[in-house]
Amino acid sequence: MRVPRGSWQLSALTAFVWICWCDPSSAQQTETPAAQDVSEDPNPTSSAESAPSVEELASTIESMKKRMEELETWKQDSEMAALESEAEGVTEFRPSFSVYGIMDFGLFRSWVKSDNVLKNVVNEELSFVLTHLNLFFKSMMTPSLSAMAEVRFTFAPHGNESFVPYQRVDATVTESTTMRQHVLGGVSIERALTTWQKWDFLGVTVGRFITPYGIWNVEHGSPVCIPIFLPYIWFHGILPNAQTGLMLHGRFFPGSNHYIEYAITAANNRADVEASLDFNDNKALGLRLRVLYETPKLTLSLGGYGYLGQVNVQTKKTNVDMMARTVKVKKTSTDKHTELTGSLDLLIAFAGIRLQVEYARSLVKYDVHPIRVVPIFNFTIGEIYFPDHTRWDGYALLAYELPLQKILGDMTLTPFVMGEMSSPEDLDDSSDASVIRAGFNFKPNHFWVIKLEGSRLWTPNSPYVKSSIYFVGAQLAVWF
Amino acid sequence: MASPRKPYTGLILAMAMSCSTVLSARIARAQEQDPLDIIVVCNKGVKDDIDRATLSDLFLRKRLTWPSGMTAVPVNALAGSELRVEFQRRALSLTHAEEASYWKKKELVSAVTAPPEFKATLRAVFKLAGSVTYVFRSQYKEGVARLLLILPKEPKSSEGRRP
Repeated sequence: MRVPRGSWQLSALTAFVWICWCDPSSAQQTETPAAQDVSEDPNPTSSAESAPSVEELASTIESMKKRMEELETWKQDSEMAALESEAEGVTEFRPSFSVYGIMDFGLFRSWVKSDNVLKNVVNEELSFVLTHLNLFFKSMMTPSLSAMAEVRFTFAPHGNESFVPYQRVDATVTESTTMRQHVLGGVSIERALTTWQKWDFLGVTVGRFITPYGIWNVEHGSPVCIPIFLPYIWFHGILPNAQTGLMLHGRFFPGSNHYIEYAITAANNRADVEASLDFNDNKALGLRLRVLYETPKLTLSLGGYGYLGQVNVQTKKTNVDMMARTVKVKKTSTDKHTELTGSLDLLIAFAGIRLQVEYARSLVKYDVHPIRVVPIFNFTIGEIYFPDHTRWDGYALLAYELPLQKILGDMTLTPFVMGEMSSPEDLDDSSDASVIRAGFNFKPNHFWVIKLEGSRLWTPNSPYVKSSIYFVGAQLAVWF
Repeated sequence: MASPRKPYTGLILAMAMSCSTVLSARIARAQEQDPLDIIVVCNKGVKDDIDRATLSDLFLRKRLTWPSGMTAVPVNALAGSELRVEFQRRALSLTHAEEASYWKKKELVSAVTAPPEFKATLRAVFKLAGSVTYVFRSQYKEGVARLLLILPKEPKSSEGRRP
């Protein structure tokens, strides 16, 4: 045991005081020899006889020690017995089931100039919107086996527009029994998976899972993401945001606060119905690697994800021959291509500053070239086919949580700026787009976040989208 | 002439010396063993020794197993209790609000939930295999669980001391 400085001096001082107190005569001996004679017992023999011997004293101390040890053992035994009876109700594991969710409400306004082809395509009028209502269902069946589902409820397709020819979906129905009007919405399965993980270095997930690429895609959900609007890298879908299949994943600990994470994915290839079907025997494969250094004050993370998939979009035509009494279904591929994509992500978080960068690049090589479709309007211009091409998207986000603890307490205020660039096709730069945004997050507590954001989008090389589009939005994101 | 008092003086001196040593050692221990020190303990079946970073990983569920591979069962004190708040500060370097936000995010991203909470953490660790928890020194009972780390009331460095 470490003895603090000064304890030896204290020991000596205590000894000196003790001696003086126990035997004042001996203390006086050195100073006043004369007094010694006065205080000296005239009959020392009788005093020695009446006092207990050293052996007797030692024996008494020994028996007292023994008794104290017995009492201590008895006390510990009774405490242990009490603990055992109290711990009866504590079980090793209890299966659990929990439900929680997120939702967000927004207020959006945009401005598009009349020389822009997107004039009247983008809704400019100030609108309240309910963009997310996601419910999470989580169950731990055993300590190493869990299941989880994330379901998003949406008003879509109510209000969806298509422009050639123009249509707007009105999903309002009138209930025949009560004559009440309802707006029918949709349900989207964002995730539905089962995970077995007994060890840190190996977990197995089966089902529909979030593709483990980047930062934004993994840390998705409006209360978690700093900006309101999704980045191009996400809604362009340069990588699938979710996949249906199998994922092996794990984490290693090379040192204190150091982590190496991996994930290997095998899933359905992308196509129009990939969530439930794949028109290809070969599965899309992906590999995620991430190195991370994380302390309460500093986070450094560098990750990458590589993805190889073979897209096969098919249509089927049924031929019924009544004379021959045969039915034949013929498959035709309208788009068949291989996509090889790599992404990198970097995160640095220090002293309230957060720098988040993501970049992804994809090579698309066709076996069956699809007919080129004009984005948003979804019409074709003659027999023009998509060529093999590369595409890329990237963004950088810089946020700073202001050091206002003295004023705001546990509330946080985080301004941010973000820039992103997107090139959907290297052979045609007219679709290249750039966006810059700025805004802030205000988090009164861990149940809700208020966001305010302004952004500008421009397409520098487009002959159609000539001027910039401006957006302003406010959002309230809630955990419940 | 040899004084008859000399043996008693020697005995008293020896006793006084030993008493003073015991007294000063007790004072030293009292100075070192603050009742508000946090004692981190694990179930007696756990054979691993860990540092503060690993302890933090276990309680933040960044790590699911002990270094030996045994499943770890972190047991928290009740949210908002003095013990929990002190543990958050000393072991996790987080405030109560920061830890709550951490779990909210973790729930969304990876569906991992916070460790269970017990009022009598020592009792839970006594019973649960692979469990780890913490108590104030004043609540600690020797022999009930295996001592892992001591998180002093006012740590001189960020590291917890090994016992």
